[in-house]
Amino acid sequence: MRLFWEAVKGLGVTTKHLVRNLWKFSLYYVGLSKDKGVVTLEYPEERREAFPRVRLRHRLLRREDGRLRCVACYMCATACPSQCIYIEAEEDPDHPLEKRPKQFIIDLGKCAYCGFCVEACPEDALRMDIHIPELAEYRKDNLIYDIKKLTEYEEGSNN
Amino acid sequence: MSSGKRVKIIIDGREVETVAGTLLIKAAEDAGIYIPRLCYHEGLRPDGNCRMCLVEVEGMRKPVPACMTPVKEGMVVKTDTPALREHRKKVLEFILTTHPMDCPICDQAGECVLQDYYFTYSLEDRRYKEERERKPKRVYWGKNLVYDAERCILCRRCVRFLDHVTKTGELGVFERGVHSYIGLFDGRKIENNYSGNLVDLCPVGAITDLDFRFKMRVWFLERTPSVCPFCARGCNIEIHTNTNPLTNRFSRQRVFRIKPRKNLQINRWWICDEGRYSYRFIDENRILRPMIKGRETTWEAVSKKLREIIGRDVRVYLSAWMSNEELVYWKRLADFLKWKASFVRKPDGDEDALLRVKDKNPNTLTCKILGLEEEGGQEEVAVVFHFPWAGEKHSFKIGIFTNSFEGMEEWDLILPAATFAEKEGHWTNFQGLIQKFHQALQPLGESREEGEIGEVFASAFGIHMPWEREAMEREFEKEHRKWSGK
Repeated sequence: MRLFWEAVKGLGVTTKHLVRNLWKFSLYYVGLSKDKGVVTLEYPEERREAFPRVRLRHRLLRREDGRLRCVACYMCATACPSQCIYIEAEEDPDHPLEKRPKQFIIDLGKCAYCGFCVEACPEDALRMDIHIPELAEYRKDNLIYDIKKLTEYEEGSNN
Repeated sequence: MSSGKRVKIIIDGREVETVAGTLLIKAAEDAGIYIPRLCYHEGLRPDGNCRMCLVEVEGMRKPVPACMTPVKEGMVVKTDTPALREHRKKVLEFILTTHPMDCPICDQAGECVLQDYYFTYSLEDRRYKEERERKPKRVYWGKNLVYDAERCILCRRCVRFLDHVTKTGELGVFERGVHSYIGLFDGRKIENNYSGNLVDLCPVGAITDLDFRFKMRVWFLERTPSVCPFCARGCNIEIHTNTNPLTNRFSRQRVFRIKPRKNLQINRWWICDEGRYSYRFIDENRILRPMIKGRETTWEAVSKKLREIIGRDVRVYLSAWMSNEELVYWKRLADFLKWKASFVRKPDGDEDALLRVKDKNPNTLTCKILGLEEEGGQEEVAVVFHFPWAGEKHSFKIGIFTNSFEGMEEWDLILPAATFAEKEGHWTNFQGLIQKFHQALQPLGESREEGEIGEVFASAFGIHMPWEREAMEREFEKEHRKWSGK
């Protein structure tokens, strides 16, 4: 008998929240209130604004003259705990900065999104601030990002 | 240095006994006390220009450079006082006013003395806020050297090396004060056979190696002690390799560079460029699988093919590139099978007064100790090691080679051999010193060391003769003792 009353009490709490949020949302829906209440986010159409601290997809930055900021120093690859950054350096014959990456690959399938690479970068060439959370792929190969994929990002996607 | 008189000095409260006339910095190092230095190098004449090695000597008014002060009986030296620590900070700050902070680009980062000293002795911010002095970067000095005047700290090690060790004197210091830089004298290029040593000598990244430039960061490299095979001197070297697919993903190169290892009896601190830059054969152009008439086959098929030579007239050409153990093993196998054995080697090259000798093979002396002759014969079958030209006159040719060459389809059987970096063993240099080289890499493809190949031969003929390196080593030592006692 006591258990029955406990169940009724629990249902009471649930019902209270349901009615309150229904009421709040109804007022919001007809434009009488700005408080939406606790409602599930309609995800693909609606999305929440990301905090600036959030670490997501990487991008490679360019200098003012269009050259990649990266000088292929391997600091990110050295710092990376999951060892998912692969770099090949080459001589940059025309630029005063003598070294540039020939290949720069981040395997996001292995990446732990710890941000050590960004911390380690002495040239501010690498950031993880593209706030698009959709990174799922059907094939693991597609998660291997090369220079092309790392430099092509939609403007404004990084808050 | 010459007198040989023993003196006692006190360094940091510790009593040190050394030979009169030894430089203080050397005496301290031998006793295990490290005094920081930038311009001093054991193998060069002291110059005393960097002021990093200043120490306090009781009775002297000011600190003295340890690299210019010979020891004297009863000297009391302090190498680590607050005043000296402060002084080292100031020296580093002074050097770093003009030194570019391009460690991310610099190949020396990770093995840079200046970088290490900054972290050990200074860790201070730069107070110099003016525009940094601009100097020529990327100056090509000929052969494999690239000079960066901005990174240069003007320790003059390179100038002293070329003046006193190779005695060619291509370099000098030009201009004065903050504008000074190291430069080539008019119309000169550094083309001597020891130019690679400048890269090792340079304490910073001012002189870098074109051959190694931007290929690999130094902290990913594994270092294996080895012996240079390119002449009978047997210089002590270090093979720097990286076989980790995570840090060496794009290149198929496994060996990245060769560095000298100090050995006062043989090569002191140096190696020649021939030994330094000839490592490519380890990774390029290798024979990876056994071949019958130029067609790849398996090791199982090899035994079958080998049985064809049973009972025929055979000559085996051992090579001066095989280790002591392998030569002993193969000699024994040849004697057992009643094969005629002789040896082949690379023809003589040029020599010089410093290191390089005429004989361009690492192990000619062992061949001679074992009583092998350099001769050919008219036998039907030839088993040839390393040098294809030896088998020309024979009708049935079996070769044991490391690298591919033209005309492999004429050979009845070719077996892939491991290079010196892929096996361990000993070589005897021209002075009679037995030196060990260590295994730095796994044999490429299906190649095997010559001893193991010998085992394949033995088992194909139904002989029980296991390849035991230690036993062969002991046996050679016996032979060597007999020879040196002569």
